[in-house]
Amino acid sequence: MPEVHLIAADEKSITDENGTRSIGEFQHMPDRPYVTLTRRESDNIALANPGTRAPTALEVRYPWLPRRSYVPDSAVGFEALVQIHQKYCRHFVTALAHCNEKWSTVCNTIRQKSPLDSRFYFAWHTPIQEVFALEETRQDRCVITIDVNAMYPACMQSNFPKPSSLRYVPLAREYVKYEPLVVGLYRCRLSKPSTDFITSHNPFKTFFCGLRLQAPLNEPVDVDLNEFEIDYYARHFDRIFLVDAVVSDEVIPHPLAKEARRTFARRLSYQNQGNKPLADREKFLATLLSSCASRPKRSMRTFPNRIRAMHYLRDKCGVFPPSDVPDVASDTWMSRGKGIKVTFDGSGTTVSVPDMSDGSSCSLLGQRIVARGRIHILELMERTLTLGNDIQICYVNVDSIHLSVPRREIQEVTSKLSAEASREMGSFKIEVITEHGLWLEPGRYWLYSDRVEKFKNRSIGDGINPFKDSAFRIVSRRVGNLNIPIRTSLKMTKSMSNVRTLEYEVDDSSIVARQRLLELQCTTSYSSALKALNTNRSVFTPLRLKAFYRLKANFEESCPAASGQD
Amino acid sequence: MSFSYEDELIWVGDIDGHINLSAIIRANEEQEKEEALRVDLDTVGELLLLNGMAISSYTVGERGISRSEWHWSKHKAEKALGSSPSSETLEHALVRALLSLGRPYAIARYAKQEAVPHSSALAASLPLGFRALLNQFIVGQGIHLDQQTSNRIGFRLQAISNVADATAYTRTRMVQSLLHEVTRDALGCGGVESLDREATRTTLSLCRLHFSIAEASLSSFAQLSELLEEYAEAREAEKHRRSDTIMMNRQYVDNWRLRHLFPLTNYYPFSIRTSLARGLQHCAARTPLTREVAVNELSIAHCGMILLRNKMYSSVRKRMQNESGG
Repeated sequence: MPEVHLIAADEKSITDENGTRSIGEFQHMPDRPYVTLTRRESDNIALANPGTRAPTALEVRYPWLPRRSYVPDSAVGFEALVQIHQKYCRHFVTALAHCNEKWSTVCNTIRQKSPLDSRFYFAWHTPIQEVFALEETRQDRCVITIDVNAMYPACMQSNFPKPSSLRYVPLAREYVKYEPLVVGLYRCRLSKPSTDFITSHNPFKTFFCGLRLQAPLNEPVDVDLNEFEIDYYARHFDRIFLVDAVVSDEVIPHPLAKEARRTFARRLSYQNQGNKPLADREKFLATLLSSCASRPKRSMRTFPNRIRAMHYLRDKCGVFPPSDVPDVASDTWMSRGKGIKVTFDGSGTTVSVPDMSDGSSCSLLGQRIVARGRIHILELMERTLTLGNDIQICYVNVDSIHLSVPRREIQEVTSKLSAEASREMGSFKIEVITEHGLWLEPGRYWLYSDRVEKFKNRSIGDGINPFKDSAFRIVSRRVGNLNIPIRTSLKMTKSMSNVRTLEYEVDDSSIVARQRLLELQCTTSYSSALKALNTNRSVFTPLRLKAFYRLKANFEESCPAASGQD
Repeated sequence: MSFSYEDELIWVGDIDGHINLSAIIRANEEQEKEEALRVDLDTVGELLLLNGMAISSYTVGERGISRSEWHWSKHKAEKALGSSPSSETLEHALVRALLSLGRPYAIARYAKQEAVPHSSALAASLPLGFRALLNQFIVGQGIHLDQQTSNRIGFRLQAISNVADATAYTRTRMVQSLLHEVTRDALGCGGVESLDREATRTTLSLCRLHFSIAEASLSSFAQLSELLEEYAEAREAEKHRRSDTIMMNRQYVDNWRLRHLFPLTNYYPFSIRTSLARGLQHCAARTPLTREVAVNELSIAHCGMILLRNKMYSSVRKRMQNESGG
């Protein structure tokens, strides 16, 4: 285990094994790997010693550790840090170290892969994340939340094509319903949607300037699908045309499938013992298992000419912005560095792409896990809609579904769900039942009755105050050889995404708002897409925020305690 | 941009440092070239701008901005201006957006002119970055930075920041005195002479940048007008100042201080400077600011930055072609 030096801090002082001294002394201490317990202590040290590398916080590195509040006394904080470290240090394994170890296991099992594996890298790799409703405030309805237990570890238990025996097959024919397909990834063209479910819960997305918008179903959908996905979508589309495929006649289990099962069993065991931190640790480590094979090395090349750089990007990755998108707009999203990265400086245009010819990743494993997850949740969504007469899906995010159910049916629906629910991997549990809900976007929701029972507010929520709408962070930026702390504030009003519109429908006697992702037809021009985003930003996003502030006001005036305010 | 003649560094006693005279001359030349490329503004055109001016979208197209680039610029402008319910918040948003758009360019240009590393200039632009640079300089000169001295420096820097109506140049002089004090206390009487000339010059240059950025983070045209007036007054005062002593063995440069008595906006791209100039006139005439005008101005500013980027792309391309022999 690497050596770490424990240190605690408050606003004015630091305490470590050598005692307490003034916080400014930190910059004179030798440059070693220091750790604090809380992020706030690390921020204090960074702010008081600009230029010096700040310590890392244990609570950030190991998010499963039991929460300890920051105390404004570094001596007391140091005691707490030493205690926690002693208790849990033998369980400390960083995400990186864990992934590297598991990747070695994968390599030793698989040994070789075919270059055709790269097709899986470029295939659909996002889970189902969608918001359908804005609020559920009607008195005659309730909200049920169900969560799938360990979805990705469950998805790891199915079969995978053998990476070394992938072969390319040209097809150019229609898919015949229920025909058995060889295991692999098929380039398909879906058309003629045939069910209400697929039209109202369309999962297909298209890319626009760094954003994911809705792929409309009135045009054919071109997408790479695994064989089990074709089985699923065959029920929802009348026509599936198969262009070509990358398949394998041999299948293997996932090299980490057993490890996933063991992790899950350990987690259940810790839960039964009442050991929450170690149970959470198993959950944390399990989530890493499904992505440890998808970390390709990157290769960089610099070009004097932007056009040449764009051609290289097209040849290597198939990425080429449409002609009506201005360079400056593409440069913005390409410089962010998710997947591909294009930057410009005095030496020219530098393109950084994942190197698929390098044996540093095996994309088919991760892609198929996520694909299975999509089908799993879509099937669960379909099933829940059949549980009653007027069930509506409000929100889906990877492995959880929020449903709106008429009050008169709640007993029936709950008992049907409970009959199927279990603690097993891949099954689901009823997480919570509340009277109302508010959903702004994936990762931002509030489920409440008289008090807020469950909420999430990505990047801003701290798990304690439901209606906190801004967060302060200290980030460190390395400039030259100095580590400079920067105070940033993240406001919810400024970090809302603008890809959703609101549509109003009349339901019985009330007007209900539905959220809809912007659709990008192939005939939509760049400027009309911009215009639609602008309308969202100036009209609909403020309306969504208003719903949040209305809820906040209601809670604060009726019961301050429930809203988290003192 | 590649330069054909050698960059000379001349020692100037006034600030205890070298200046890059050729860079100053070059900057002036560039400015004149840009003036020559001035956009035709008149009062007849469908895109209304500040101070009653306008430009036609035809002209925008002529300058090399495509339709989709114009739409992108408008999109960015609308986003930056947000909902801005009142004329005041609109002006606030417009001024802040214009100033932050041109700031990275100004920092890079300042760094080049002052011959300080770009990374250090970026560091100096961050609130806590300058403190880090100052600490690095002090420690690098062999002065031990104990807690007491550190606190003292902290308090003095805060006081210097809080002084009202002082230009960045004046504040830098105050920081210089502080540094001399600290040096004398630590290294004795001869300490100040022993400080590394180049490191001191760089640090003071970065200090001036730090304060210039702070004073140019404004939220109204009225505040900008005040800033420019302060500098104008300082320049007037400087013209009438006579130096009582002549430094031995150092070159005398005409009106040396004068060249440094300019706010950061002087380093901004030309397109943004003209927008700001129009804004000042608009404000002086007390005309209310409409959203249409604000959006157009900010969009034009974004277009100006696009053209600047294109120029940079092509100059890098040309330089690399020359280097590799075509």
